[in-house]
Parts: sequence; structure tokens; C-alpha cells
Amino acid sequence: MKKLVSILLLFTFGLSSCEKDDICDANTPTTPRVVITFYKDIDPTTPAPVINMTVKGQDEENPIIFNENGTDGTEYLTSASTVSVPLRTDSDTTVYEFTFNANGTNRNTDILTFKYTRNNIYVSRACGFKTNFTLDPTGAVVRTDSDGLNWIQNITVLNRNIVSEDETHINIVY
Amino acid sequence: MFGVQAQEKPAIKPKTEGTKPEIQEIKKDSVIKTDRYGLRVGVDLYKLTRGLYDKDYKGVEFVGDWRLTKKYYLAAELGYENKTTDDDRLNTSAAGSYLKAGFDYNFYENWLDMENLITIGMRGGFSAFSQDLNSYKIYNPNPYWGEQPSVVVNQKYNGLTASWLEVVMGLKAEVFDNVFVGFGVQLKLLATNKKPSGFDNLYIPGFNRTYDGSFGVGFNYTVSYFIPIYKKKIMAPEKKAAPKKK
Repeated sequence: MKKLVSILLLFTFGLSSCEKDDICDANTPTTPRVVITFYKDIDPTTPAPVINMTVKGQDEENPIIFNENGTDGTEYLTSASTVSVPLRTDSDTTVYEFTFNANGTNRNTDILTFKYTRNNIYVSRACGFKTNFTLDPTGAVVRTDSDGLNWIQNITVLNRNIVSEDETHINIVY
Repeated sequence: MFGVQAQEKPAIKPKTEGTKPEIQEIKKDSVIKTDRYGLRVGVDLYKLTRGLYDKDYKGVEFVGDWRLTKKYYLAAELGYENKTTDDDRLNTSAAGSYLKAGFDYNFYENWLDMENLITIGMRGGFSAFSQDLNSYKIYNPNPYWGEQPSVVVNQKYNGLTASWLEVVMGLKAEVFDNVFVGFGVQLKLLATNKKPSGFDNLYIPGFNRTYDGSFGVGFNYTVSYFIPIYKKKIMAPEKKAAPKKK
């Protein structure tokens, strides 16, 4: 009898240590973005920050917000050497317009088309599924130019498998 | 032994009180109790009626126990459940049968010939089931391209099994002759869980909803009928009688 009661107590304490699993924890790895690192052509080994770049999805109204605190258009600007952009989970192609010096007079827009296959993977009850991407073996990132003057020189795919945001997937030399 | 003593004592008194009190005296000194042994079978009313108001649930659970000794009962539950769970990001169905077997220990001291039970017990449970992943949503922390609608897959996973241990606290009260209503709560600890590849068992018939750990909870509300099969007589002498014997 005493044994039974102690087992019951053990169960109760065990239950109280259960974590709530109805909310998807922000630290859970879910659908990753593609991580792009920029280099200057004069020094292709040291990541170099871009200058006031915006990244806008084709046919989307607004560019990606890089700076939550910005106002009057500055929220879309980034001057980082590494940017992460989300790929479409409902299509095997995502098209972005990368604009260098977006708030200046000598702005320059290059269009990058990402081609990949998708793999939906179960995460948990709270998070549902996530999508991992595999960039196509050839022609994964194609640059086209809208204004006849490209700022992106060279694109290298470092890692075709986009499963986390911990590493750079694509290098861009400008 | 006590019976002899009981017969001796009233022999002194009849002179004044006659024959009728004699019987009363016998009862006072040594209470002769009959314990009934047999099989109790019933059904979980909660599972049975839930199907009436919850279109996502169908289930039934039969319960039974067999009195082994004065306080120990062999107990088992046999059931079937078919439940669709609509979570925020997943819509799944689980269907299958389960069997739980173990014992109950009645620690309630009944008065006279009452047969109520307050029990603590343990069960081992086993479930064989299938699961349907009806639809899911992709979690995208950066929904620049908008939230994607649910992906309908209707993927079926067959041949799943799970086993677990339960601690059961229960209460059974005899409301009419041989008719008992009961209430029980169960704390469960998952022992084995054969998950489908690339998915999880979110609901296991008999075990109920799964959590991140291996714990689970459950309860039932039963109505059962006791089929008496044999009786055992127990003579329980009053405590006062014992020192007199010496």
C-alpha cells in the first residue's frame, strides 16, 4: 500500500515537470531561410557589408523588413554582410529583386531566381511541419538584370541543403 | 473459538431478558460478515456518450473485475477509440483497440455488509492502432510570402502499437442491488511507442493524448453490474471480546 502511494506521488511529480507543448517554441528549428554572405571582388575572403540594400519579392508590394525599428522606408534597408531571406514554401521557384544603394541616386537592381526542391518534415504537435529546401544542382541561383547594369559579379552555392540558418548557403561577390 | 465464547456469555443473562435479546447479544459479540465474491462487468459511460455530442469521437470501454481476496481485485479494461484531433497546425485521426489489465486494492473499510470500494491499482496497457494525418500546416517563422494554407495529405499509418503503465485511483459505490457506479482517474507512463517514420503518435487509443514526455492522463465514469458467484463468511469479533478470552 505504501509502495503504491509512493508510486502515485512519483507520477504526480513527473506530470508536473511536463512542459507545455501547445505553443511552438521560437527556438525550435522550423522552416529555414536561405543565408547569403556578401564579399567584395577585391577581397573574396572577407565578408563585406552591402550598402543600403533592399530585397523585394517579385510582384510583392513591400521589400523584406530587415530593421524592425525603422520608419519611412529605412526598415527595409540592410547594411549587413550576411542576409537571410525566406524561400517560398508553396513553389519550387522564388524570385527576389536585390537593390544596392536603394535609398540613393545610383541605385542598382539585380534579379535573382532561386530554384530548389522542397521537403516537408514533421516537427511537433505545436509547430506542425517545416520545409527544408535543396537547391538545384545546376542553375540554382540565376541572375538577370532589369536595368542593364549588374552589381552582382559572381554567385557561388556553398551548401545546397538548406536545413538550418546556422551556416551560409550562398556566397555573392559584388 | 469466539463462537464458543459468544454462546457462553448469553447463558448468564436469559434469566431476566428472555430469548429474543439472546440473539442480539450474539450479534454484538461476534459480527458474522459474509463477503461476496464474483465478477463485476460494466461500461464507461463517458466514452459511450461522448460520441453523441462530439462528432470527432467514437469510443467504448468495457470494464471488469474479479474479486481475488478480501481486498484485492483483478481488473481489466477493453476498449476501442476513434478520435480526430484538430490542432492548430495538424489534423489527425487515431483509431484502434486497447486492453488494460492489472489489479485494484480496496482500502475502504465497509460497514456491515456494504460493498463500496475506494481503490488504488495498477494496470499494464497495450494498444494496437492506426493513425491518419489528414492535413498539416507548414510553420514558417518568416511568412514574407504569406501564410500557406493547410496541406491536405490523408496519409495513413498502419500497424502502430504502444504499451504503458497506469496508476489508477477509483471509487465504486453500490447504488442499487449489485449495480455500481464508479469514477476513476489514471496517471499513465508510456513504456513503448512505435511511431510511424516521419511522424508521431499524437493520440493513442486507451492512453489518450500524448505529451512531449511519456506521461498521460485519463479518467472513466462507469456503470457496472456485480454477478455474485460464491460467498465467504468472516467472523469479526468485537475488540472488547479479545481481552476477556484471556
